[in-house]
Parts: sequence; C-alpha cells; structure tokens
Amino acid sequence: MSKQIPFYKNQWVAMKHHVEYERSIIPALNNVWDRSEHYERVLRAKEEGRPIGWQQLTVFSELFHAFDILNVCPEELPKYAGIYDWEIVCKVLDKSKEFVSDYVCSLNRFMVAAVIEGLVPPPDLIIHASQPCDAGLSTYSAVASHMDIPIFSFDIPYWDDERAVNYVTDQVEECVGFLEDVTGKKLNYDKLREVVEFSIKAQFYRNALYELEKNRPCPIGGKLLHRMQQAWRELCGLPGLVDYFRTIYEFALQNVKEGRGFLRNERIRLAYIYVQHGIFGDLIDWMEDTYQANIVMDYMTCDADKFELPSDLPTPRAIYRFLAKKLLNSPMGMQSRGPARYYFDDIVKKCREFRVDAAIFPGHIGCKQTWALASLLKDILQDELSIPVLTFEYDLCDPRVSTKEEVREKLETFLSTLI
Amino acid sequence: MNKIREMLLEFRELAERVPNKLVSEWKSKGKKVVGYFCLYVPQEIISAAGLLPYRLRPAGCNDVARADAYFSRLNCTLARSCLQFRLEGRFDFLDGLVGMNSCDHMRRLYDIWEAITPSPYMCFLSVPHQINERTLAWYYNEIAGFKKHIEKYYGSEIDEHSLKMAIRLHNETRMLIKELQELREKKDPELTGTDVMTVILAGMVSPKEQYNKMLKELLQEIKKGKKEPKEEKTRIMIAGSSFDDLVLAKTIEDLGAIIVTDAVCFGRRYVLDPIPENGDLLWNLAVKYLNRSPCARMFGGNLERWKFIRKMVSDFRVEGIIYQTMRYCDLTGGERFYIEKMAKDSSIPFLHLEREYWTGGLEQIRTRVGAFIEMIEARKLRNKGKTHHL
Repeated sequence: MSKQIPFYKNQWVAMKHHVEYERSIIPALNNVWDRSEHYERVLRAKEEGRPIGWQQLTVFSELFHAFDILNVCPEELPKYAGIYDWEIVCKVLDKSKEFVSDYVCSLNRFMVAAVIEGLVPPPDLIIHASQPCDAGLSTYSAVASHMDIPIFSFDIPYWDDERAVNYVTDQVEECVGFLEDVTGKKLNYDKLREVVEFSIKAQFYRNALYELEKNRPCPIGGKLLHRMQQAWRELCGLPGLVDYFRTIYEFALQNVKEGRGFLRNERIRLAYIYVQHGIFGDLIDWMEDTYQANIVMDYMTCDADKFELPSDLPTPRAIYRFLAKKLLNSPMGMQSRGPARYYFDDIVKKCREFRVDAAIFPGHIGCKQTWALASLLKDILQDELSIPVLTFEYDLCDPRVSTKEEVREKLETFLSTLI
Repeated sequence: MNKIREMLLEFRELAERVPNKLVSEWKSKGKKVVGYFCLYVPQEIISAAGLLPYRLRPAGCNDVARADAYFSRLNCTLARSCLQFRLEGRFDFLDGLVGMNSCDHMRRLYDIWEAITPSPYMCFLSVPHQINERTLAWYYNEIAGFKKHIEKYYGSEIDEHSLKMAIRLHNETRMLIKELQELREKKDPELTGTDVMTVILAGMVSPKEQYNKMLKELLQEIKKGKKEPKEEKTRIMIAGSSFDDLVLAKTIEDLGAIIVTDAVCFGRRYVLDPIPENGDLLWNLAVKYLNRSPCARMFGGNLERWKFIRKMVSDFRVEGIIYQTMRYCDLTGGERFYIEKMAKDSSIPFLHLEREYWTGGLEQIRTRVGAFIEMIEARKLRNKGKTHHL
C-alpha cells in the first residue's frame, strides 16, 4: 500500500461538507464558527509544532483543548475517508487481517492497520477508556505497546454510583499528570476552567434541544443529530461550539413555537437504538423523503438527561468530577459498560418519552456485546411499548458486509408495514 | 503406569461429566454449589461460606440452537455453550452464579442468564482492567462486598478462621497443580499435556478436599513409577483465549507434539503464589488475584503477558507457540499481532489457530498444526550441531 494516505485531510474535507449540509438546513449557522477549521489545524499541527492526541470515541475532549493538543478520534477516520473512497477503506481493512482477527470491530482494525502500516502518522499520545468494548481495549493497548506511544487509559467501573464517580474523578486527576508529563507543560488551571465552562454552556443548549426533540412533530432531523454528536464529542470546550448548539436550539425552538416539524408531514417517529448507519447516510434522507420517517431518538445523543450540569466549579476537583460524570455517561459508553438493565431501562424510557412508532437496531457486526442483547431488547420493546423493532446486520465502515441496497431493502420492507 | 492411567481416567470422568459424581455427592448432603466464570473471582470466599465453587465449563457442548434464541452468531461459542447448558437444564445443580466483567461475551451471558433464567443467588464483581494501587483498592472493596453479599444470602458468616482454612485449602490445590505442571519441565515428561490439562480441569469442578487427596496420590504414583524412555516430541505451548478443549489438545499431541506448558486460565494461569494466611486476608486475596499473570482483559498488560509467555518458553524449553483464539474473542483477536511480533523477534515459531468452543474443523487444524510441527522439526535439524537457546 502506498505510504501516508491523507486521512486527516479527508476528515477536514468531510467536515466542510457536514458544515455545508447543516448551513443548508439552518441558514443561521452561516454566522457561526466553521468547525472544519479545527480539523484544518490538525493538518498543520506538525509544522506548528503542536501535538496530536488520539481521543478514543467515549473520552471527553476538554483536557485536549486545555492542553492545546489537537484531538483526533481514530474511530472516525474510516468513516470520513469512506465518504470519498470506500475502496481505500476496504484495502486498509483487508490489510488489517495480518494483524488482528477479521471479526474485531472494523473501526479498531482500521486504526491498527493504518498506524502500523504508516498510512497515518502515529499520534503523540492517546487517551483511552476501557469502555465500550473489548475490541477497543485490546487494540489500543496493543498499538500503544507496539508503537511505544504514551497512553492513558481510564479504568471504567461496571457500576453507576457515587463510588464509581469518585473512582473516575481520581483518574481524571491522574490523566492531567499524564498530559503534563507527555507535553512537558503544567496545566493552566484557569484555561481548563474556561474550557469546561464553554463545555457546560454547549451542553446546556444540547440538553435543551434534547427536550425539544420530544415534540410532535420533531423540530429537527435525525441526520443532524448524528452530525451534532460528532461535533459534541470532539469540540466540547471550544467557544464556537456554544454558538453552534445555541443556533440549532433556537432553530428548533422556533419550529416548535410555530408547530413546524423538521419534516413537512412527519408520519413515522423512529428510535435508533444503536448507532445510525452513517456509512449510508443518504438512506436517512431517503427515509425522510419517501416515508416522512424521522429519527427523533438517537442512541448516540440520548445522554442529555443523565446528570445535572454544575452551576459552578469552585475547585479543580469539581471540574474533574464533571468530566468523570461525562465520561461515565458518554454515548455508547453508558449503554455498554454496565448491566444490560442500564441499556434496556434507558431505551424503554426514551422510546416512551419520545413517543416513537418503531425502533431500528442497525447492528454493527463488530459490536458483539450489543448484539448479545438485541433479541432481549426487541422483546422488551415489543412487550412493554408494543412497538415493532427492525434488527439487521451491517458494518459501520465496511460496505461489503451489507450493501446499501440490502440495507435499503430491509428498511423499505419495515417502513412499509408502518404506514 | 497402569495405576496412573486408571487414576487419570478418574480425573477425566470428573472433568468431563456435568455435574460429576463428587458434585452430586456434595449436593446429596444438602450442600450448595456456586458457579463462576473467571479466575478473578476469589474462590476462597465461596469455599469459606461452606459452598462449592464451580468453574463453569459446558464440556462436550456441540449445539447452541437454544442459546441462539438470545445470543447472536457474533457471540463466542463458549458463552453460547454455557447458555445452552443452562437452557437444557444441565447447569440446574448450580445454586448460585458469580459473574464479572471478564469480557463482553461473558458479562452479557450473565445479563441474559439473570434476565431469563436467574439462579437463586447471583452476584457480579466489577473487576478493574488495570493493576495499580487505585485499582487494587477498588478490587478489595468489590471482594469485601461480595463476602458480605454471600454471607447475607446464605446466612453463613465467613469469619477469620473459615477464610484462613479456605485459603489454606486452595493454596494446597494450586501448589499441587504447580508441582504437576513442573513435571513437564523435564526432557521427557511422564504425562502428556492432555493428561495434565484433564487433571487441572477436574480440580476446577470438584470439591478441593477430595481433589487434593486424589492429586497427591497421583503425584506420589508418578514419583515412584519407573519411566520408559520415549521418543522426544516437539515441545509446544498453548496461549491465547480460554482453552479447555481436551479433544483439540489430544489432536495436537497425536501429531507428534507434547504440550509442555500454556498461558491460559484453565492451565498455568490458574496457579498463584501461596496466599498468606495472616494479616488482612481479604487484602491478601485481592493482591494475589489481581496481580496474577494478566489476562488479555487487562489493559496495558501486553508486555507482562509476553514476559509470562517468554518465561514459560524458557522454563519449559518450548519449541513453538500455538496461539489459539476463540472466534469473536476481541481480547485475543485484537492483541494477536503484538504477541506474534514479540515471538518472531525472539525467533520462536508461532502458529495462530482460530477455533470455536466445540471441536470442529479438526482436519484443517491437523493440517496446519502438522505443518507447524514439521517446520519446527526441520528447523531443529538445520540447527543440529549448533547451540540454540530460545
């Protein structure tokens, strides 16, 4: 394979397209910070002598921003690359079989092959968490050992209680020490406070938006929810993100006030009880156009009701505690790390609150622990809420596992029965 | 030697029958059995409560149709086989189950078990994925909570004395097993790897008092027995996923190899240094259990796992490593390249085998393992006359 495939550049270009899409829907976003600028800075990181840190998909971004480290979520790279060239993604995945078994989550397999083969430059550091799955745990650990990359891993407990919060809060403090050691810079506490205050403000609007999504008709669309999640994970703590969420919130609020839905004539309210098939994002548009079906409840953005935002941050410990809670309640992490009842209760509660007509479980084949619960969850939703559930296999970044046509056919059959 | 073979047959019966006769006798006295999946569950606490700790092994399972009503095809066949046994009623002799976050498949097995067919007693331990002072304190609290939980449910107080006696009993088991394993360091071991694995497996599913007695007798018999010189075989080590497949072990050995050691939790990793019988006994348990040679579930343990393998290679004069991964095991499937690279850098022949829990595809395995052994033998011939230390 040719050396150094421009995955970071793909990420930047993909983000520019995301921004264009959002601005076409919400024109007021034209007056808001263009978040693709952040990804452009990643491209310039080396020449500017700034470190790049890999942020595992459940880890918060605030410490990266406080230390002025440019963060990249490696699990997102194949998705961004795939927007332009699925063939190269497939080639990297095929190559990965030399290193890891072919059933390991493709997002992690891609990361292993890309970094070991030198297709993407190794990061200066990694922050990882032992959630949501074994694939992430084993591959991050092995890559860091193999490439001698400094890594901090949060040990995430199974339980959801005060003891767990304290346990993770201690680790956030340790992570600060790790970053100080690797970067050679002391934490500027005032900067961290500022970053976290921006994060809380952004989250305030995100939470308010979450409440608005419960309205019938729903004031925003499912694809937007998906894009918002990507922004939220990587950019929390940057001031531009506050304006971004506030603008989307205001758009949704105006829609609610005027009784206007995101879709002209919302007919089907869907809950996506696993990650959206972003790889086939245009199927979301197709569902909206053809069936007036909107994803009003999304697995990756339904964490807004998990904990109260702090009104002040009097001590470093209060900041670390906020970040610990955020980590424990991160999307995908919160559903995956603990007992199945966390996932079941949460999904049932939200399907009820969002008054959905049906649920869809687009099961990524790499996510074995969620697949283990798919059958039970389907039964629970049917028994408790009498809603139909569609379950199908596909891969988050390998279009060969289930093709777009195959997925479309399944969705079509299912949605047709709901009308 | 016939006496030894007879004794091994008894161990085989214990290992393969679910439940075996010693468990049935235990139950016939009105005593309880508590199952567990993983080695990070301290069995001494179960024993100290007057219960029998039983490591779940769906031995001989080769059909998971009923389990697949819940699990998906993407889940490992060990977890699916355990659920199959549960749904078939073959684990009904269990009065309790202790789960932990060993891996994604086994913790979801616990979830499904609890949801559809709960055991009378169920408890779950949140075991850290790292080893340091903070995680040790967490783990200590988890096992202290487990002790209280099991005491309360069964109404049997675990006092200092009962815990000390349980530690002594399990220490003895582990030391006897270690002694058995060390017999394989010799050039021409008395027992095959399959024999040794059978004996160890029997210990995980039998009352320790009787098992220790049987194992002592076996060791004595081996010591006094006269050995016939045998043809030297290729010395193999098993590493990777959980491995308790006696048929596969025998298949490998029938190809001209001898499994002299391993780095799996049904084998060498079961052994711990003796747990001290004084001081804070729970703390002693926590320290020894958490610091055991790390499972692939332990983050950042890659180098430690490799060092353990390397030490075994050296101590047991291993000539080749078979790294087997259970299909859909992300822990070993994701780490494989690291161990393989380390083995290659140390010039140790390495074979990766992917398998299911039940023994299937034996022909393919025979071909691959046969070729691997031939390769090692050819290498030995090439190196003949040269001094070669792995």
